[in-house]
Amino acid sequence: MVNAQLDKIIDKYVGKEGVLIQLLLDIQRELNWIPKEAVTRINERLGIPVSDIYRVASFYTALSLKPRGKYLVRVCAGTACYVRGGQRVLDAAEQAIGIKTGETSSDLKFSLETVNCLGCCALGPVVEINGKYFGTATPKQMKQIIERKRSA
Amino acid sequence: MKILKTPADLEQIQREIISSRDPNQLTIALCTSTGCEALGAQEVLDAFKLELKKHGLENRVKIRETGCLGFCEQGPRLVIYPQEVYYFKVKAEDVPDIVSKTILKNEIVERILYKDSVTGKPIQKLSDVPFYKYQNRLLLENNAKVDPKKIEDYFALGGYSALAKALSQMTPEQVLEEVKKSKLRGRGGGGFPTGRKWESTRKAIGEPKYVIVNCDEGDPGAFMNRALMEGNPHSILEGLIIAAYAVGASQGFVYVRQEYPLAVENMQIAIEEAEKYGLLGKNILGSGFDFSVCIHRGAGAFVSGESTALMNAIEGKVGEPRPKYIHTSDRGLYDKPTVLNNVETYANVPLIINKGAEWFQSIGTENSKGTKIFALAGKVNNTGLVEVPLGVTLRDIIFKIGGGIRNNKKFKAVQTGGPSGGVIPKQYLDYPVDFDELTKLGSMMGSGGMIVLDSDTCMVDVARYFINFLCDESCGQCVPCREGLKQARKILDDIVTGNGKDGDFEKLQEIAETMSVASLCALGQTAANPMLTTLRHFKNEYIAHIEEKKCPALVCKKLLTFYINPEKCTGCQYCAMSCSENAIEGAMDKIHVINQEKCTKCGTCFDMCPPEYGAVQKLSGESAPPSIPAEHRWIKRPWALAEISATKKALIISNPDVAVDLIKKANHPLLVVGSNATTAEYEGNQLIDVIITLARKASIPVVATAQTIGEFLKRDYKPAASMSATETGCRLVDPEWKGVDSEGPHDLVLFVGLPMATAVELLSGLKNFAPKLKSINLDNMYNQHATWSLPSSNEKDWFETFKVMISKFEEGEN
Repeated sequence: MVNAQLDKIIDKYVGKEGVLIQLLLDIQRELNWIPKEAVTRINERLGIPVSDIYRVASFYTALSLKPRGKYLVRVCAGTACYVRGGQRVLDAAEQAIGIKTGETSSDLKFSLETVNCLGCCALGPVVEINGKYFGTATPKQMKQIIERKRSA
Repeated sequence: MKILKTPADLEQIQREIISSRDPNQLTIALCTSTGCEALGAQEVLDAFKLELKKHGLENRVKIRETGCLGFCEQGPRLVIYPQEVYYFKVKAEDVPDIVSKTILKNEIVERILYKDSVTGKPIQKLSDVPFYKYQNRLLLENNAKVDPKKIEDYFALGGYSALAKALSQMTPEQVLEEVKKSKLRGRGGGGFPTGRKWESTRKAIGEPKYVIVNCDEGDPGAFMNRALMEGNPHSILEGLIIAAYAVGASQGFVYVRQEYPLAVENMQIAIEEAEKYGLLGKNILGSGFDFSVCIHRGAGAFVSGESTALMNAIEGKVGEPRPKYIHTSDRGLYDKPTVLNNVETYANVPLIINKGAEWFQSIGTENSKGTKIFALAGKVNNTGLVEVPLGVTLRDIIFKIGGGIRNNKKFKAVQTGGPSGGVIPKQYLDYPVDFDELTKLGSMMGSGGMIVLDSDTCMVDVARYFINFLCDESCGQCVPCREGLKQARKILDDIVTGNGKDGDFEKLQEIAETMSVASLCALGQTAANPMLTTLRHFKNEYIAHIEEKKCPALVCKKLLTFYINPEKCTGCQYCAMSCSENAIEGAMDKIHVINQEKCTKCGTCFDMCPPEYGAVQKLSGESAPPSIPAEHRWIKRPWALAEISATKKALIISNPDVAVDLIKKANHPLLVVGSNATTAEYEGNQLIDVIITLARKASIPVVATAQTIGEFLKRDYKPAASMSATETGCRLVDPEWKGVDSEGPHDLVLFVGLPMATAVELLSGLKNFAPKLKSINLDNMYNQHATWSLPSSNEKDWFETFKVMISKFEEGEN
């Protein structure tokens, strides 16, 4: 099943050069993480050494070798957000979800990460959850959003 | 769709599009870029669709979803054409009014116009809004005029004419020469002359040649490239194709970070549209020149924005920098000659080709030509994207365009150039901003991030923040960067947690200097800048942290103690209820006390304490005073029982003349001044001075309550009496009292500067038990228990009211 899904993505890249990162990003988007099967399958289909795939997958922050939660909560840790209280929003998110930054909750509902800059610096602190942006976030608002998602 | 085979075809389609468009077409241009989206632009868009349908206008009125319009702070933003009405902070609730008034009747909805931050008056013309008034938006202006997903909109503005001109009327050498003559320099931060870069690639041996757009904008605090890529992707694409023609490249790449999904999407569409019209592909516009472009998404690594690392990433490898003894213009991507430029650099190219190098040269300074977009953020009033000619001063950007510092705080420094840049303190505010001047100050212009820091920012913490960031982002290839950053982080961590030692200062200096000369790439070479500039300009703060274990800006948690001032605590319980550690002891009407052993210094109590009480305080470099014994914590409230709400509420005095009239008509007014009058100030004016002037001009006797008497005497003003607010209240309800000056009972009493709770109790007492006495609340927080009250307002308006009142009394004198 997963292999069929993977093959569909890999098919787009057969015979092209320099595709590894783009391919992994597509898989990440589709499956929400890079499972071991994906690494093996890429190796089988495209002949890229497993070590190279792991090296790339572990280098970039957008790629995850561990499963991610249904809601990926990304708190901006860029400078503009930081000086306007981003750390406190992150603390509130940790507290509300009950995990540390970089972790995934055991029910696979939430993953919490920081991101270097989302480019909405004028509205800091900014939080992004599955592509939806929240500007001028406060710790209180953060907790409310998490609670809403939890019961959703 | 017609493939454009010649420049004449392009001209024709431009003409067709322009003539098919009604210049009076009602259009709503709504910014739906990431910033406005975060503030609810989608809801506004949906509301418009619904509302237009309701009025049957969906075919008459066009909605254009545009890219960033710049003033993100005031989003969601929109423009209505052809009237050119500019609305700010639009909410879905405003949409019915916009449609029924502006669209249907050509009337203005005043409440969503921009309000001048000084006068509070609404401003209709964009050129009068201070944020825009001082800008020169060559690159950003078109964002409001195009839907980035429609190439036709770009055609309508004469888009791709520069490409046609280059391909049909100029040789690649002439294009090169023009760009060289314009003195355009790379906008990504390096500032290398673009023409020279192109020339070396053109001359380099090797085929094929590549051109790359760098949109890896990884600098935290920078979003200029995102705005261009999302808002006007064709301008970048046109610049890229011209560059390819000039250097002889046949393949181009656009590298965009995946954190910018909308930029990826809009660029992808732009490429597909350009291909459909034949502006990419074989034999472009019949010139015989072939060129194609593809997008490469970055996967989240700051170091990948470095040119050689970025090329590695495009090749599908780990994005680590290469040693630079071989120039990428000779051997770059796949070891072939490669040009890599920033998004903004490319966006300038069509302008230069269209208008000529001389025109471009007329903007900017001697060595820095053209305009530059800055991302203004941090503790400044107006945040957003600012495009100015190079050479304007930092002061103009921060104070004229940015409107000064938030919440009337003091400016401390501005951080420019992202993690590779540094901080620039107050004394250099009049330096011009260009490629060379900021470098002299130890910072750099960089790609254009500009983060304003105020007096509440700890500079050691800022340095630690950047070093921590770079430490995480260092690729680890070379020792000076990898180990230097790690050691620097450790030392800075020690300093901000109170474990700083003698010699830390020197060690940091040494690490910084080693890294700047010995690192492999620009990341490591410039990583020391945040440390070096803070060490240079804010040495005192480091010393305070290391020697006194004190954070002067009250930021570094480990060096703070939270303390509840028993004089100010009203027993409201907000702090205790919000404390997640149950570290605050207290109950209703009891002074609250923080248990320092349980306190985790999270700061929630500090935020929760209502600002009018200000009881929770931060201390640094000293421990909290001993707490009051439990049996003495009851707050005495003699008037607490007298607060009786009634249907009678204070009338609002919105015009200061009314207050002046009331005072003039009164037979025997009295002014009661509380302790807050000695602390309130606005733009350097202290409230107490204003009050004294008012009392003098209006000849009102003053009662100085609490400890204010000293402040009055210091200013050579002798109040009629000095007694507590409670006592004043007791006397005022006493019908036998002959007043402070024994000249008979008072008929009007004015209050200013009393703590909110005291004022409420006192005034509700007067309302119910002194029926003949009228009262005016002169504080900037509405008080329903007075007979009349000023409205709740900000300090600026409040002080303005006093100014007007004083001038009215002065008029009476003459």
